[in-house]
Amino acid sequence: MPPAHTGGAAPGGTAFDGTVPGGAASGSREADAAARLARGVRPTDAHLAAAAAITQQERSGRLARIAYTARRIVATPQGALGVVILLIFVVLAVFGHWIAPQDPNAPTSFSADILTGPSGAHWLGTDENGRDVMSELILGAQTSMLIGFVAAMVSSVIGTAVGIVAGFSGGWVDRGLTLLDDWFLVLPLVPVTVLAASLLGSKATNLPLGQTMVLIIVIGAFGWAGTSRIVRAEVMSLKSRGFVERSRALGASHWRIMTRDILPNVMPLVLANAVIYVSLAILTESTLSFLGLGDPNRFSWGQMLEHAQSAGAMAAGNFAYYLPPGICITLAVLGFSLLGHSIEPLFDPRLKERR
Amino acid sequence: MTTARQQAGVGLIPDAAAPILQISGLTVVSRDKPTVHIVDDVSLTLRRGEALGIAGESGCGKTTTALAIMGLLSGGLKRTSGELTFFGRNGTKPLHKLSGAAMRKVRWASISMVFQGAMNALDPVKTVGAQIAEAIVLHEPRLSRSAVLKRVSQLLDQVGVASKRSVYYPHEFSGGQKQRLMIALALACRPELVIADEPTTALDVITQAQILDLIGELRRELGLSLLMITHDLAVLAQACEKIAVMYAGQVVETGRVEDVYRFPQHPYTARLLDLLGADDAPGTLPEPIPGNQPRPDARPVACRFHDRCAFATERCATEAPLLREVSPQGMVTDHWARCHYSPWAGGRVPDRPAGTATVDGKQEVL
Amino acid sequence: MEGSVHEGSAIDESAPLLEAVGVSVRYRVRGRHRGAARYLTALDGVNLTWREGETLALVGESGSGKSTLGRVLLGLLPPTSGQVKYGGLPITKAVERKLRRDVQLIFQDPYQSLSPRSTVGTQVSAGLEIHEIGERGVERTAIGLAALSAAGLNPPEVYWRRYPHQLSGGERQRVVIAGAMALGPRALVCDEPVSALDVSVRAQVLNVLATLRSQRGLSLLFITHDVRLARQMSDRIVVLYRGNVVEEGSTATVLADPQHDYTKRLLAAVPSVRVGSR
Repeated sequence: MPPAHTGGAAPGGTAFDGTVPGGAASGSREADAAARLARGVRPTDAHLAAAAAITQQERSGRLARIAYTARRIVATPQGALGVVILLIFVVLAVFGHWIAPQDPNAPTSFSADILTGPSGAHWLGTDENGRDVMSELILGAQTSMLIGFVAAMVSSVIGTAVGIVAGFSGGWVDRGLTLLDDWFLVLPLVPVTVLAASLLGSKATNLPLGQTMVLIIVIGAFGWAGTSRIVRAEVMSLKSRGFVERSRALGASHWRIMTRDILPNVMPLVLANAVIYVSLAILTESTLSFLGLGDPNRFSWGQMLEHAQSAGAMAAGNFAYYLPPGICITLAVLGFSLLGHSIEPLFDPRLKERR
Repeated sequence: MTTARQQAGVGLIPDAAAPILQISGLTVVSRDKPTVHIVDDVSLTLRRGEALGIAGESGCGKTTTALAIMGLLSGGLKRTSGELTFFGRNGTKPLHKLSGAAMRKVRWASISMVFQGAMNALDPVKTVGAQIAEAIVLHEPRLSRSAVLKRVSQLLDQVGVASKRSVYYPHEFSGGQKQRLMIALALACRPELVIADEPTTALDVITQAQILDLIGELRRELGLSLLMITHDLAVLAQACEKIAVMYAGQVVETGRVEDVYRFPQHPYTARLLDLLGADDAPGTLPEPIPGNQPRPDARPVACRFHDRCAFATERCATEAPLLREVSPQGMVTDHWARCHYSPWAGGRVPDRPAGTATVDGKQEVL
Repeated sequence: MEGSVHEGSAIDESAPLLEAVGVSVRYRVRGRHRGAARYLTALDGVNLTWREGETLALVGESGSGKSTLGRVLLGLLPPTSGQVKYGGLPITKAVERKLRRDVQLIFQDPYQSLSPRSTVGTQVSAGLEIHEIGERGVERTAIGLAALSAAGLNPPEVYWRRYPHQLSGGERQRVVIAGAMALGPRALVCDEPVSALDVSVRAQVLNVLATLRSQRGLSLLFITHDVRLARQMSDRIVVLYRGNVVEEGSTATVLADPQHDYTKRLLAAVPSVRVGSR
């Protein structure tokens, strides 16, 4: 078939031109579609059958994909360890009230046996009010997980949105957002959160989670700048890639390009960053609580450290009181880091087949 | 085209010249899967002053062969057998036995390389003069500063870049000039053998022609030996005396360019030459070769080209052909082919038999 | 609503498919020259006519402005001055939408023109979603599969769920072609469609394009520095040099009897394989 080609400058009136109203002259959508079909591809019955099968599989495939992803995370030792650690904390966070030996908030929990060491009744001893340290530790998991997850989500969503819009738009939008970004980036997180938490603290009683909500908002709102910075840099490089221009040439809207072409390509970055940010949020919560800016109505590991210190547990060598909260903070951070490292390759289809 | 080839320095070297590089039985495998031969029993001889072009499509093993010679195989690859002997001015060196340190001495000083995509291989934060000087100092540390600078400007002169531009940064040069700089860098330590991997691929035709002319000039002036790796048979014809065509890890045909191009003895070579469409009338397309080159782990047994070959018989699917010396014109011309049916009647592989399927609508072999 | 958008914007069938009238593109370059802002002229008052059914080759070296002209014709880059007309109409919002669907772009580097994180199926049906062609689900999938078949990827359902990294360069380029064909376009603009491909794959991809052209009456525009490609595929050649059209004519005439010095140099630089003629 070498001479596959009509040869010579084919004039405008080829056969298909005559039979097909090629342009928008026809006006109506139906005629237009018919023209396109004549020019374009016509699915055969085999194509329709295959399409039906694919659509069916795509519907049922979602669950299988999630299961598959989960299996792959657990397949690596680090991933498995991270999942185990986090699962324990999540279970403690959700079912803590039932698991904990006593409710430390109940008036009956207070006793005269203060700052005792570990015993059969109190595995980790008692605090300065004679309450069970073990129970406080278990309930603390809830605060840490809640703040960690929600704050990381808030900052990731804001950071990703700002990063994509800035990187994709360019021009004055980019300059403005980058300026804002810089500003948030140089604000020292802890002093600012201390300030914000103490300012907002008085109004906290009206919020759903009280003082804890303040912490979430403060940690989340001040942490997005790092994410947006990384996302923006990645978007700038993705923007010049062929597939983005292909989408533009296809007529895709900016929204579509940002959500369908760019977002999936920055997702691994965002996730890896979010996981790190969960750790950071947990640490910040601990710091704030240690400084006495925590939620007085909840138990948290940072608060326990603060109480242990002010009660002189450290000086008294009461290890069972002040070591476990510290270990829990470290373990939670470690769990998220391990998970983060094993999640990242799963979002890159190029890495999926290896190993 | 005689003039263009002569201009490019082709045909100056007598066949009787002593070899400078001998490759025998080179086999490179993947470390993960040692049964996968990326390069499979390749033997080639390059004579002093000669230019040998290795042609083939991506994945045929041509670049791996070059990297094996340089001792620069990536971590995933391993040379399992084969000898690489370099007959240099300072004695004969078995490259395959050299230690890392000894190989580093040979590399650049005796054998240098112009890498693929070389235009991006220059360090953007150093001036080009400094980069060339660095290469010289690395191998000749006792050279005085003024001698180094003199050599740098001499090299730039040689490759046709004004020597006063040695203080410029890479981004201040065009693609073609960057390629000239890469050549200067390759010549920095006065090597005897230069390996050029796709030296003109990213360039447009006019620049490509200039670079090919430059390579020819340098070969004439410096008596360089050249090993050129390319997928473009037209470029190869212009720059080399000898050709080796590789397919699926093997050399399938080798010989003098004139002989191979006029009397191709392997169907793959013949089809590649057809694809250049040298004599086609405007508006006609050459018939494509159906299918794809097989991946190293999925190569057919026996003749590796048989599933894409229009002349394949049952024998081709069962019995592996050997690389044999063929004399299509009745003369011994050092022309070798790996096909059961060469030499072909009529002196060359015939045109495709009529009625063979085209690639359209036909399932691709992965 | 589609109908109402196009009311009064009837595309003249006898008018050229795409037309550039005195198109110039200047970029502002960083830095200043003697106090004045520096500009780089990519295109300098270019006129070009591309008729329906015609295969046109825009030939020139890198920096000649050929890719810029391609982007301007597609409305992806607004010209500094001059005008582009599609079917005789200046590019307004409504015409642009039509243009996006009717004229598709095939890129040079098939390794970059597909998103690494989406499946072939998603990317082939992207255009159908954007232009709301067919019904979501089975119908769009079927059109996408048919497009893969048309581009020579058979059986298409095998390719549907693959990711780009699992495909060879030639297969990726066919996926891009399939994505374009799914929309039933009138024309394809191909920017160096085969320069990143191996020789044998190159011939396969060109044959797919030639087949689509003859079966569906596609108009093709090749943007290339490869004179061989222009010779094999085009009816008419337009030679660009430093942002200007220096020569224009039927492929056979331009190749046999080049008039402009630059064209002569370009043709002389093409390496020949006829070593036997010595």
